[in-house]
Amino acid sequence: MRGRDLLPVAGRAARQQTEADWRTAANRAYYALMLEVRDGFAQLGLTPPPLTAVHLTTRKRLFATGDPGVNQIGLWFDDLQRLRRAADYDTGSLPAFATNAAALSAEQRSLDAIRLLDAVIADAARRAAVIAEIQKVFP
Amino acid sequence: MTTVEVPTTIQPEAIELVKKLGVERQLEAILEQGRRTVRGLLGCYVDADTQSEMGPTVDIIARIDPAFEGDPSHAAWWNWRIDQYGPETAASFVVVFDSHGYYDAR
Repeated sequence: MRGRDLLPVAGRAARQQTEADWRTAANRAYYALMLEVRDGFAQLGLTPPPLTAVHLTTRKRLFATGDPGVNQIGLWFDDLQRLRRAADYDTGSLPAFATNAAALSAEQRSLDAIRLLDAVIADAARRAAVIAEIQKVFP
Repeated sequence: MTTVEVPTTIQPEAIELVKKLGVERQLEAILEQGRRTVRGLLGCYVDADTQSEMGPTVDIIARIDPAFEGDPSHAAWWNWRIDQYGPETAASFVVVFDSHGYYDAR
């Protein structure tokens, strides 16, 4: 099971009719990306973060390189994290969950970020540079 | 670039967290840089994630005029804090661009 396998779940939930489904979509879209980044970096030699710090450590690593693609993933990661926080913990009435627009956008954003990550990993020189930069700060 | 005056709301829990993390000066500078450089900026809302497993983070929501969605100045501002303060401090802040009012009514 890979993080990206959660994306179809996010997509199905985003196309349902209830706020609870749209919030579920936001959650799954975030986890799809977070797990892909965590596991992608671990496969390239970085230490898998402990569960107690998995979110923050995974995110921090996106800040530790000057690679513009990784920085873009970081920007989208912030977006998905904030939406997931609202989805899972703020049960008040929020415009983000008044329709399924934010949920659909989250699904797309997560997919776009995973594609960018794939492109970085597929390029040997680029991934070596990225991992070397991250290892200096958050090994 | 000139500084644009926009409504900025900082929630008490965010003030508390920036003090605890020792990043008061950085928060002010990030907001000021946003006011100077982010095209279409309508306002900033700052709160803190002190409860969830993803934090602690100081969360800055930049409300953006939809006509400026995706403007390159947004990514430039997002990256600015990393260039200025390094990854550890930069990661204390979550910076989000909201062109759709998803986080309005706060």
